[in-house]
Amino acid sequence: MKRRLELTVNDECLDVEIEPHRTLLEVLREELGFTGAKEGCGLGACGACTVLVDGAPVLSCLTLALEVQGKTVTTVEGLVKNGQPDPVQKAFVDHGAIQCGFCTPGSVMSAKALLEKNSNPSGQEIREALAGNLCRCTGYQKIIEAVGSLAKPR
Amino acid sequence: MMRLPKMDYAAPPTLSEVCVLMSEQQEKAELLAGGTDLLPACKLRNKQPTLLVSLGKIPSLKDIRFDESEGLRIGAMTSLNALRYDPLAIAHYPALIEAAAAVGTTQLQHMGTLGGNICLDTRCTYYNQSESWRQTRAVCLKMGGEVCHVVPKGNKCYAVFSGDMAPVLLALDARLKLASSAGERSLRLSEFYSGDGRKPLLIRPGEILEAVIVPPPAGKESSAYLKYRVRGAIDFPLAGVAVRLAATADGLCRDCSVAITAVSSAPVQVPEAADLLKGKSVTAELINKAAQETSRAAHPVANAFGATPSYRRKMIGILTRRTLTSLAQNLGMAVR
Amino acid sequence: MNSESYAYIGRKQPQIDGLAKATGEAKFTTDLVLPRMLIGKLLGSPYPHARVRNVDASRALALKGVKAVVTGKDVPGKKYGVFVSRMDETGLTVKARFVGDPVAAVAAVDEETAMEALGLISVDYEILPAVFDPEEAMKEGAPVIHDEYERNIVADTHYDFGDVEAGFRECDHIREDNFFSQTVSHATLEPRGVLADCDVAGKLTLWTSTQAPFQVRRDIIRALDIPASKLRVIKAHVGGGFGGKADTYPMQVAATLLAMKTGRPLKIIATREEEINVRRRAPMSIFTKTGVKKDGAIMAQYLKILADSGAYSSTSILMMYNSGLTCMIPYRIPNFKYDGYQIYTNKMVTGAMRGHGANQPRFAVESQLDMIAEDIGMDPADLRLRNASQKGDTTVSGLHFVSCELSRSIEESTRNVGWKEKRRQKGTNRGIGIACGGFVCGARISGHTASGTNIHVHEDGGVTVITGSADIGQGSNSVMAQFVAEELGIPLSDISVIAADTETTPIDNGTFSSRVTFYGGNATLLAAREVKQMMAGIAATLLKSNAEDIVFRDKLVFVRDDPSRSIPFGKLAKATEGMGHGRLIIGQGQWAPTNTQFPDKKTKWGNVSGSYSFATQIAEVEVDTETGQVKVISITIGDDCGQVINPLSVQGQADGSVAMGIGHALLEQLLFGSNGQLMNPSLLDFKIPTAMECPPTTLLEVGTPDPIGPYGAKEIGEGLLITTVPAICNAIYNAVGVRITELPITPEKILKALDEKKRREKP
Ligand SMILES: Cc1cc2nc3c(=O)[nH]c(=O)nc-3n(C[C@H](O)[C@H](O)[C@H](O)COP(=O)(O)OP(=O)(O)OC[C@H]3O[C@@H](n4cnc5c(N)ncnc54)[C@H](O)[C@@H]3O)c2cc1C
Ligand code: SF4
Ligand code: FES
Ligand code: FES
Repeated sequence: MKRRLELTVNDECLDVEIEPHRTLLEVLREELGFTGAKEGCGLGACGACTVLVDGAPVLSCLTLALEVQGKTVTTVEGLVKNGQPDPVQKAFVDHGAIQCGFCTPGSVMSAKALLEKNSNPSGQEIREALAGNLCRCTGYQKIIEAVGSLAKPR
Repeated sequence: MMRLPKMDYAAPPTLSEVCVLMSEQQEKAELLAGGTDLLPACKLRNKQPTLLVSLGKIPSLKDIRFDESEGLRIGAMTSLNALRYDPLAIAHYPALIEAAAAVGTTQLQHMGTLGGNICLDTRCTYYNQSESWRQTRAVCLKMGGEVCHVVPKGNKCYAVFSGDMAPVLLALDARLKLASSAGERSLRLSEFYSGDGRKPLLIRPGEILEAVIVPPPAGKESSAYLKYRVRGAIDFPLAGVAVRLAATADGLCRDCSVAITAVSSAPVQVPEAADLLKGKSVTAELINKAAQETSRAAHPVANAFGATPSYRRKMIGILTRRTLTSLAQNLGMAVR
Repeated sequence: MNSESYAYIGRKQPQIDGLAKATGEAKFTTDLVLPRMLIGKLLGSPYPHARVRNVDASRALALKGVKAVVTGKDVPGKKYGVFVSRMDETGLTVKARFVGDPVAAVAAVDEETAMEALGLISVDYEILPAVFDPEEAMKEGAPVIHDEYERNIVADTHYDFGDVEAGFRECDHIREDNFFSQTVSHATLEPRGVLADCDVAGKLTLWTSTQAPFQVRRDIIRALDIPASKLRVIKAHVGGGFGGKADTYPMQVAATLLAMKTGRPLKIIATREEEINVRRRAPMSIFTKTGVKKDGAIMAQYLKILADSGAYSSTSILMMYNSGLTCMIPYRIPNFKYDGYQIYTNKMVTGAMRGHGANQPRFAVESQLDMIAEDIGMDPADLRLRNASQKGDTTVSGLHFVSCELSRSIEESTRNVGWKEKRRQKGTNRGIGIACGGFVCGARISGHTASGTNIHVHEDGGVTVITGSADIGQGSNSVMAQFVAEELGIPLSDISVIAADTETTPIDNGTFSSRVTFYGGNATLLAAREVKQMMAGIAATLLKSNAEDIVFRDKLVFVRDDPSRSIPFGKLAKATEGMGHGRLIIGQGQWAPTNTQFPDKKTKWGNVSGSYSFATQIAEVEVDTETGQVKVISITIGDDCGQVINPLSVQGQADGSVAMGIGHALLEQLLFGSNGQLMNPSLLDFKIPTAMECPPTTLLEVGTPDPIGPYGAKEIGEGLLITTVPAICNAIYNAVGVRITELPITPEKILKALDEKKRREKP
């Protein structure tokens, strides 16, 4: 039986009727059309599905959609404000942190969560925060540089 | 996409309602905490509950409190990330922080709870596979069949407990508070694990882990956790050692506790190792002996990717020596 | 013109579709949805070798929401495959040759129904004896996997150049060693996927994750027996390929068949488990014999390689050819002999993967060179310098190097890291190691024909580049745009690229063999120059000058000696269309090198590539001698990829290669069970490096513009990976004195070797 799910996605209050066994990733991609978050494994090991729930980076492939009832979800699409990309997105582009781009939405969200919590992360902190986002193309160096470029010395 | 089986969902707002629901449903329902262990198992059809009962709507399960006499009381739904950055935990139990920081990835730490980590299912290379993958072989014991593909002779399941938090909590002599419709009970963590890979927890049907209580540190003591895994992130431990060490004023070992994980179907304490040190002046030789004892207590089998059983056993010894040595040094015990 | 005076070439350029990818706008196959779209799923064989006697799909078809089931019997056409001489796949099979080999496919209204339907299909199998080890599979009497191939030998390639026996006789020192390179997965983050659509007239369109849409078309029209004009294949955004998506895969065949059958759009997206089970890098056992003079000069070399093909041939003959060929690139070897065999087994298929056949022998040879250097008391860097190939060289196998800065790459990289001092450091468990390599820029063995590009200039001066080259994440669209920007003096933001669509773009063989910048780039240059010439003619009239004196830069077109006489590019575009005979501004280019030969059928002699890249890699590692764990501290690369077009993507290729190399050297290994089943088809259990394992890389560009490559560019995508593994191996030896000859280098292997070393040294 379908259930009603109310949530805020990218600043928009939405409600959808879903079956209770849907994951947040399924609902975002298949019900709401936010296809930014990707499934790289579906089992928690790659980070391609990372989105923010109440500001925390979570794996949407392992989040039951009904668990985010009443919560605020931010996807990579939602970082674009008034047609302007987020500084994290811009930094990824400018630093060459993107090759194929399949891991990018997840990596961007992890980076965003880190910078919101810690405006001046060290290189090691950046590596740790992004260690859950596998990337087969970039070797991570440019991603780490991109995030590092946004670190603001206090 | 990897799909979950059809299941119903409930998220009662109070613990007592959860208890009632669980006692009615019993086997067919599963408690949902962070879901990072349960949902992969459902996707792979290792588990097919008809109902998920979420603990997410009960705020009290996320409390962390410290009390000089009781110690640290951590609600079962506390996320590993919250624990990792909790000032009380940081101040008193370094090993808890080290272990929480070593779990999976940042995302998994945000989602995963302490309760879920303690209640983690055991793992095996033949078990954590998709349904269609498993269909090429006979159903194994853990899935309700009659054979074991790892140790074919004998009728025991050797699936390995691979949680990072349990060994630390064992070393810290933590107690669990469990709730059910039949009432509450409290038991030592060491009494919680069955050692049977098939059904690793001695939790009763309908029971809910409510909180973990870690006794207060007494005097000069510290703790540490070291884990061996293939990569610096994502991977479950292939061997893990937690140690709590307490010093007397004149630098002798007042108390010690050693616990290991990921080398058998339950995380276990190794009193044989800890006892060697108690009351003694901690020497390098003694530490080596304790390390040997600890590695003797490890019984890994070939059911994890990334290292052979003999290497994992060896690593238990090395990690024990390293944790003991650094703790002794931190506590100002002269290690000779 | 040197790079200083370029406006775009040699300058850092973010990918033109970077923002689309960073915002989630870029659409990968999995993101595409069509009205009434069905979902497809494949049923894999649970047995490694079995004949399908019968498939009973009645229960599946009775399930609500199931629209069609197809099996190997429904595939009407001929076998397909990468090479005409080795076509052995059908997409859905009537004889399963590995666990997971697809025998049926279902179309249903959603994925869950499709999954349920798979469980309701009953297949009656006749189980056949299976063989998993290539050596066993080669023996007389072993189960035959494909009837046409005796003793399961799918490829055997032999080189014999110079006089190897005589060469060895002249040597002062000869070594013979055995090596083993394990099998690994491409592990692209994007799993394979395809969306097929069939219109009422029977015209089929495929959007798919591929490196080679034209190859996909060729294979599918064969397999399903449909006219080429009835199938259009469009590459969607592709989330990495690394060679794995160069082949047509069963999902593509099945999706097309199901779309035809149901008349509805149908999508199949692989799960990670299904994804990993499609292709992998071939494991190779390598015997190497190398002989040198006292001064280190290599006189002769012999390699014998036994490679596992898995259940189908894929690129086998090219791979085995490459394994030998690439040994000829970095060093002058006057006498060279090679025997390469690839053998069918009942395991999942091996195929092209970044470096394609070069990685495994490079690991063996570079390791052995260090062993030889030690034997004869020579610095390993000096040994390499002594033998390094030089510009103008023609190898005994016919390869010809029109540009080559290998010596410089050795000199610069060793200087940069402080080689001599670091080699001398003792007792730290830190070590440093070197390896050299080189790679083709598109090997002209079968299929590698020209690439093509068309360019349209719009009336406002915007430009559309239409190229056959497939961007799979490496950024070739951006590189093509950069060439056009440089030629026409317009910013990249004014250029859009349409790529890799069998119906609208020029034919292209695909993205592999490091050919894209080299071939596609040159084709694009030709097209841009055609446009430029046409516009320059009009500009000359308008500005009262000669076409040769017209310069295109900064969106302006002006007279070289008098820039004040200028016209904006956009205006000129409009003027060009309006003036004269009102011609369209369209440029066309197609290009293939003319200095190559198809290798001789018998001897394999021939210059297969227009140019060759060269590189030296130096790894610094630290080894924990108690646990055996290895930490890679840094990687330094001296690279000759000719003229760098985009430093950002060149560095990106270097970083990515190093990460993959670290995985290959230390972490990754696909494992098979006793039934030939892949044991670790997941990103948890198949361990690719995370951000924690990858050290910073230093890339020193030492190349000079190549006379043939576009603006002097050569390849960088594959050549760098092949040297990471041996550099790490050699660094470990330098650190702790143990030589690991079987990959991956696990801590356990290090400890075992350290133990053996201790025992050896004791008495
Ligand atoms: C890729 C990957 C890597 C991982 N790496 C690690 C690692 O390195 N170390 C590690 O320790 N773990 C690891 N994990 C496992 C998991 O993420 C953590 O152990 C996490 O802490 C589990 O908590 P959870 O809340 O998500 O558990 P859940 O999945 O919600 O629950 C796990 C089990 O415990 C039961 N349960 C949960 N809470 C209670 C309760 N309060 N009372 C009674 N029963 C309860 C559930 O019913 C379920 O059976 C990894 C997981 C993945 C997917
Ligand atoms: S140890 Fe044996 S019984 Fe237990 S899960 Fe593994 S194969 Fe099954
Ligand atoms: S898709 Fe969620 S972690 Fe891989
Ligand atoms: S950019 Fe391709 S996986 Fe990260």
